Amino acid sequence: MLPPGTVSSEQQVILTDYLDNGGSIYLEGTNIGSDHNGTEFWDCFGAAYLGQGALHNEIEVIQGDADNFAHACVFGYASNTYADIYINRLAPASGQSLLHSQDQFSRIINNEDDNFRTIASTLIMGALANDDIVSKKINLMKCYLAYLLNYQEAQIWLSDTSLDFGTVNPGDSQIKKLYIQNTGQGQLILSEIQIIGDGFIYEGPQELVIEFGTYLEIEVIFPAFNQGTYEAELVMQSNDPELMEVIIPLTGSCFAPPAIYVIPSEFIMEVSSGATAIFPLQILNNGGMELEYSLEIIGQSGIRNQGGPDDYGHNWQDSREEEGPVFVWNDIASTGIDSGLTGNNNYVDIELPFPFYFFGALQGQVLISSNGYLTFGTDGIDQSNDPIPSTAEPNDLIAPFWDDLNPGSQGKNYYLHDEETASLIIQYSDWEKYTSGETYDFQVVLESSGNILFFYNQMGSSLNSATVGIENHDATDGLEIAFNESFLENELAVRISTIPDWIALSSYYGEVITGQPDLIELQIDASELAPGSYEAILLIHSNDLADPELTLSLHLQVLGTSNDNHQIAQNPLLFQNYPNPFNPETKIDFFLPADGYMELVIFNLRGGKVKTLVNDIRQSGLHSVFWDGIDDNGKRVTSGVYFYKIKTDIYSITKRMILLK
Amino acid sequence: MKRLTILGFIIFFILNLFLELNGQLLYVWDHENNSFSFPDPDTGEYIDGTLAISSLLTEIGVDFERGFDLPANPVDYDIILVMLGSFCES
Repeated sequence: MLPPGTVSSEQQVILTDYLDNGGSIYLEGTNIGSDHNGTEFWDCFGAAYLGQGALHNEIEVIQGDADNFAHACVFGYASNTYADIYINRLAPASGQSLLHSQDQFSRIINNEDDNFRTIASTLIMGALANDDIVSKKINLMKCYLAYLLNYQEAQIWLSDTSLDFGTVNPGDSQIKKLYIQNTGQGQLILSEIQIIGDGFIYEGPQELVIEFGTYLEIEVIFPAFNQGTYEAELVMQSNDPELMEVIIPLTGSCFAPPAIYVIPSEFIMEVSSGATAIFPLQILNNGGMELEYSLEIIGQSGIRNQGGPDDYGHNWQDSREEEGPVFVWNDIASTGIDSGLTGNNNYVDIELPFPFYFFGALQGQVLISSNGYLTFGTDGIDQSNDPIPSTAEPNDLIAPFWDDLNPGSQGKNYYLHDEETASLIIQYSDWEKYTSGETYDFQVVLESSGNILFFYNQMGSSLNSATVGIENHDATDGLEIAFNESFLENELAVRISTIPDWIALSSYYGEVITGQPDLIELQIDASELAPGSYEAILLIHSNDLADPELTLSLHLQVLGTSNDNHQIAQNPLLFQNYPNPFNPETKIDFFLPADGYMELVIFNLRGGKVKTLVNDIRQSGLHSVFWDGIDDNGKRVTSGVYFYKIKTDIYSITKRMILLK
Repeated sequence: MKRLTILGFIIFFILNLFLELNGQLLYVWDHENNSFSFPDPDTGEYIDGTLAISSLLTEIGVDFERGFDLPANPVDYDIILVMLGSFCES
């Protein structure tokens, strides 16, 4: 019995008889000709075997495929040159070279007589890489099967079943290529090639003819003349009996990039000591594509002085302080999602449900470690806690209780996206210390504002061997709240924040489409502030590539005397309606700096009152009302120009809008 | 009698159609030199020629059988793929 890799004389007889009875054989191996040269079996393949180093004038020299073949041969093919020598060992004798071209890797010889069809290959098919454009391995095999089965029909192969041009800027014309190959022996004829629909161009011939094993490319153009979203179809008729009509969906969008604009460009605010106030921030999109933004407040001044700041501006407080965070235990064991975190020194990876900035870097996902920490880095399994900062991994670290922990027999890890508070809660329940088996219940809460909170509910007695704090990605900044010391206790809360206590935003992220601005409230709380100046900055991150980070200065002057209504007088703001022009309905936003009586009225061009939308006392802040084009008499008004006016006891402002039919 | 003949023909036709579509059309004879393996250029996993061909046939959607032995009478197969692999004898 000959070893594998060689066909014995008995096996050759079986295979030769098989061919004589109408069978087909594909024979693959680098040395096939050497072993079987001169036999009746080898004659069936119509190939001449060439010795190592022979000149192969009949066969194009190939250079391997990105070293794949050279790498493939574990027994000494050190380079493409050697690979060429070893695998170019066949030349046509009675047979011919099938698909003989550089592109198709031509070490394939086919042969046929009245009874059989054969292919001999010194090319190891599996060592070929599939191609980005034409899937070589698959297509070659389809061609071989078509030949061996003597399939006489045309057989179409397409590089793509659809073409998506994505979103491009106006005027930024795009071209995509579609590759079409014929893997059947019959001539492939494509006719009536056309695009049905608007927005795309095909300028090639109406008819294409593709021979066995070859391919053509056709181009589809997305000219992106006008802004909009486009859908069409590239359609052609084919003589492939399995696919008589080819339909390729075409999609593309043409929009200007998002362009952020904010009002105001800085805040200079005055508030009486002990008072509260609200200031509006308007975020507009002057581009075409949707603007995505997120807000981050950084300020080192304020009443917080317990811990920090780090270089970035993080401070921390705990619930033992009078102004510190309040301990609450919002148990999510029944409402949260089981993260699936199991085992010792393990982690799970979850996506963050909102944009979250950590030391100024946008994070999209986080690793939850079984050792009681989160990281935006890659090391989620470190059981040996370090001080902060430490260059040793893990970095990009949020450590509520980093110690040698594991889930033990009862431990569970849950997470919950609380949409109402725009926060992500991650909870370790009955989590065990590896050495003692004591259990611990604690939470990390990430807020969309960037705030980080730790809540410690029921903690085991071993609390002085853990790290508590945060650290940036390269350990050049961080806050060490505790390291191997007595600090934690049951029902303790810790808050880490860059935001001074005197300021908050109504929202920290959002999307803005063109013409529909977002309105954000800056909520100022001077109830605990002494008279004086306070500073902070507001960072606005967005997908406006021309201006991805805006910095707004926030200047707060706290006055020494409190007025009656605890508000400093400001004027109301009236924003442009959206949509405008409109039909049938439009939205009007306005901002009131203080509680009070107000009117919002629609007038026509002649100054006549058309509709009273608001006529009562409203609270301070942002408000929205809608107008559906119906007047005070319940009748639909005619199309044209209208005015809307807001009026308070001390101020009025008017804007213009257009109703279309 | 005539009905039985027609019924028999229909059964024969369906059976043949079934065999044509789902029968043992291809046989992959894994007769490779075991010293040879290589990283799949697409996945990086070490495979051999037989596994590579098998993956291709599966991807194309062609039924096949695979074995280490050459059937003594392989006439039922339309194609035999003889995989000998690679070995250095020079």
